Amino acid sequence: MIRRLLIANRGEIAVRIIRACRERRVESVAVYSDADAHALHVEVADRAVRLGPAPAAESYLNIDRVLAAARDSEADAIHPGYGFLSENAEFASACEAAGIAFVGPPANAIAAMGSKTAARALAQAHGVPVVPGEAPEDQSDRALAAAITRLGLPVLLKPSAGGGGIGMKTITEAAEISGSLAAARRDAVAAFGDGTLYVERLVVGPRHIEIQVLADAHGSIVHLLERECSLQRRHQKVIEESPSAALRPALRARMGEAAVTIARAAGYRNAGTVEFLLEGTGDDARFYFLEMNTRLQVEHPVTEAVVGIDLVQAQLDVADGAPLPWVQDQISGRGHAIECRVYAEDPAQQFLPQAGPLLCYREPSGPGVRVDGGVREGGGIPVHYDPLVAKLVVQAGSRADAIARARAALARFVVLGVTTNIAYLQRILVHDHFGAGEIDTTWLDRQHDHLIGTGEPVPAAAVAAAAHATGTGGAPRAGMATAAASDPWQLMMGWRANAS
Amino acid sequence: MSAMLRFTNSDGAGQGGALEIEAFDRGDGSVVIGDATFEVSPAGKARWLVAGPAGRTLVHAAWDGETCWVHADGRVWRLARAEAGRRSSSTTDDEVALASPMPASVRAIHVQAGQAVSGGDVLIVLEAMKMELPIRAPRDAVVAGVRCSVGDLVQPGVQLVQLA
Repeated sequence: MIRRLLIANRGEIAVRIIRACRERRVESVAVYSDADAHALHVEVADRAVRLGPAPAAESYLNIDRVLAAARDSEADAIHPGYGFLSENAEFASACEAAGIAFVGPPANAIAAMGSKTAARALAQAHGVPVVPGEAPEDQSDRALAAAITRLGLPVLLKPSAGGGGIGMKTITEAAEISGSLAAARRDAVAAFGDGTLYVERLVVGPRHIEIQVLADAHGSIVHLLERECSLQRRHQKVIEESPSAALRPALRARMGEAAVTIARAAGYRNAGTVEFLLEGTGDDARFYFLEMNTRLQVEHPVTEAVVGIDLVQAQLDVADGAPLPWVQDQISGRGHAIECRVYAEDPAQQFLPQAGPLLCYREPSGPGVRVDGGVREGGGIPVHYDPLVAKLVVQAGSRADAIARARAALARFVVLGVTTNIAYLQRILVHDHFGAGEIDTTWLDRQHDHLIGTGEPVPAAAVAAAAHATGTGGAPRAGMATAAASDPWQLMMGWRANAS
Repeated sequence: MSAMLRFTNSDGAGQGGALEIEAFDRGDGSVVIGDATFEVSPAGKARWLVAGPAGRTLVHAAWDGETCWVHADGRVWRLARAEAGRRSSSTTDDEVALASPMPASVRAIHVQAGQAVSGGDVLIVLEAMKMELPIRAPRDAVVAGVRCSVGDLVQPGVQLVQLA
């Protein structure tokens, strides 16, 4: 049994895990960098251990320091949260070697899923579909054209040796094939010194659907339905929901089975997520395995809301050696849940991350409203880490009601001192396409101009309050402000005023 | 005590601009804007209930130096006293272009004093929140001095390179 848990993370996820510890009377140990000495997760934990300076490489990503903190605080287990060391097989091994339980999968399962090609091969070997593609031995135009015909247009040409989207070309018409092959080969040689081409069927209008799985140490694995995460920008998820508007029950069941199959093949244990691309909707939709995330996801509260299972408690139960208390048939979803990620970023400036003081920070609450936050009023958003401020998760009986609830809750989420994406999230929620569930992974980029503000006029009531606040000691009178002008945050505000 | 204040709006999304609004605080809990009167009552820390001709609005407001952040009707705006706005608009192009837009650390410095640079050249590379931020020369010039070192944590608004 875990008695003292070290949380090797920061921000909202550390706070969320510490809350779970308190519920089950497990002592919590926070770790922190110098930038986080006064952070919320440090305040709410039973103990706190300094890791090192602000840069993540010298603190939250430093395996030796995290393990030393666990030894010094006599923690018997480590929860890695997400990001940082959560998908680091070496770290998981080091924990086990040190006799500290790692709340997550075995190191070999992390390693098996860490390689995209190996994970793809594992999925194929177990009959789980992947995006069709091939790199023909014979790289002649004729052989590649034959491969394209087999896969069916449109296709994507990728340098076999490449990655990161460099040198990719789309072919939509048969007439483009020979020209595109020559150009793609040239680009591949120029970028990677190897002209070998990989041909992949282009998934048009793909949705990102992921399945939550949970496995115990006794061979039992269940899935906890899906999350639709199609609203993303540069692979950064923005809004997630469950259930997906695109899934019919039969398809949901097949995707769930595929996810469990992959988890079993990988020798998985604890909570994990299997990501798929979905093409089409309704009964004709097809799904393809993308990758498996071997950790708790940022968006896990969406699943918690619809299936009524606390995933962090379940993770700790599994780490304690307990068998899963449910079989698949006992798991069902109820209502609809939506998560909105509140980031400190400026959508009008290419989503430039923002750091600064939280002059005023008031989370919304109410029926069906949950906020997982990692900050507090009077604190700030440091420059060194991910700019996630909080996650707003709402639950309601229907999708339409959940959207209305999210919109109203965002309107009373007050963050002053740092620019956030709250207005951007609000514009997504009221968009007709979103309301109709007509979204895919390219939607946010295509709608960008509609989702950016246009300088709405300030309500006179707001100016009245500002003027009155000035007169009642809420702010320095003109001429007094210079006394504080050496404060760096002030300088930043000055810059923002210039920019706008 | 009554006071006349002039605000310049710039909304939370970085848009907005030169719209100026005059507000007259009569010092008795009422504020006059144009021909409308607003009754402002405190409603907790940084929170005000404002009653005006169009009804009641709950407003959160917090001053940070010369900037007032306000939240009303579910949105955020930044208001600056007009006097402050005029002063800050006198900053030169160099001061804006050669300063970090946000707190960041200096990852690399590509120039030294005396070096000739062309407009668009990357002078300094900053890093913040896992993003690289290049600081580029706003014009053809000779570098007069570099005012930071690799590894420094720099604040926004501070000019990092001086061009002759």
